[in-house]
Amino acid sequence: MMKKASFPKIVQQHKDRVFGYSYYFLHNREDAEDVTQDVFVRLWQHWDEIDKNKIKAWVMQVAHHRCIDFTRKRKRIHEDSYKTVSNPKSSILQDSLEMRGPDMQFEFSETQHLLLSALEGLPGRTRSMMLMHYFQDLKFETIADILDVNINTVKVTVHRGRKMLKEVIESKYPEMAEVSI
Amino acid sequence: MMMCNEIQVLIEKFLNHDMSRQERQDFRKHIRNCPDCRTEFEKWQKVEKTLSGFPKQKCPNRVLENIYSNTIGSKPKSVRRIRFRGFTNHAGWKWAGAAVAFGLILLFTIIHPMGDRNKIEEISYSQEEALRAREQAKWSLAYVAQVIHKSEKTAIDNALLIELPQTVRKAVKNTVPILKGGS
Repeated sequence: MMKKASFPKIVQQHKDRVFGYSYYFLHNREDAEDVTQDVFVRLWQHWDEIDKNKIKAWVMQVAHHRCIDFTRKRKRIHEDSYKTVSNPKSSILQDSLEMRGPDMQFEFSETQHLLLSALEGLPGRTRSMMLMHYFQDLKFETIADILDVNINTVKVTVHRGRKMLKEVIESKYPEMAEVSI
Repeated sequence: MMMCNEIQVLIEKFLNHDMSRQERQDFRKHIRNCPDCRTEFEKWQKVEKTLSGFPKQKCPNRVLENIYSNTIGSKPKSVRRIRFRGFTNHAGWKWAGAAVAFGLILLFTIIHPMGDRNKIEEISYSQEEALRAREQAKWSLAYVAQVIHKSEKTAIDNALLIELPQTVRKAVKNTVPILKGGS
């Protein structure tokens, strides 16, 4: 596979997925942009070592690890401000108010805001799997490849995450009849 | 028959797309007939729909430009956005395309019959046709020479010497005396 000819196609195929995952993971647009750029520059640098049939898993794996690195670094440097930034209601909502543009779509329902907050309370791995499965439409097999775990672990973990989120919604809307999706 | 205490396991299987056809049929049947399980299933479905309905984020173009400048050097032609003044929307391109297509059709309809006409003209210049035309000219000129005045005849002879091909001139010269005498 010709590196220079194939690289832009690969970037086009995966850029939104990498950016979207990083954005929902970090709740910060600029950091998500940095992660996306970093992922594809690394892809270019390691092109010859990568199995071309597993590029999707590779880029998502790098994106996931870079997001964790970003979170740790941010936590270390700005311990206090991190608490504010990590609140999705403050950062994503802030984005939605200030940075509306052709590249951005922010039409969250009240329940979605509730779920975004609830996702923050999930264990790290559960949250990552939920983001990959629901926000980036990745199959369980691909998630298992990315996180290097058994597919059944992914299924069980995702369902545990669903259950937790259901409980959050039920506690807010006991009958769940008034839930607006 | 499915029991209500199995419903949680089956809902998990349903959401993970792990059900066999038989299990799905039994599950749907049970959901239809059991209001409690139906309500429970609807709650899960609401969570599922809410999670699946989050807006997808698009990577900004400036990130792409940075990626390309740090890797292949510049934005590749295949992904570079080419915009022309006046054609920044799809409608502009559609009209331009329609105009070009119309022009091509018009050109084709003009050229095609011309080609046919050229073909006919080529056929009319065949050797047989040329001989027939020459014969016609010979008889016509002979008739003219018979009826006109001597001075005019001289003028025509001179004109014939210059204008007509040698073969026709010879034919006229030979024919006129015969017609003169025979009339």
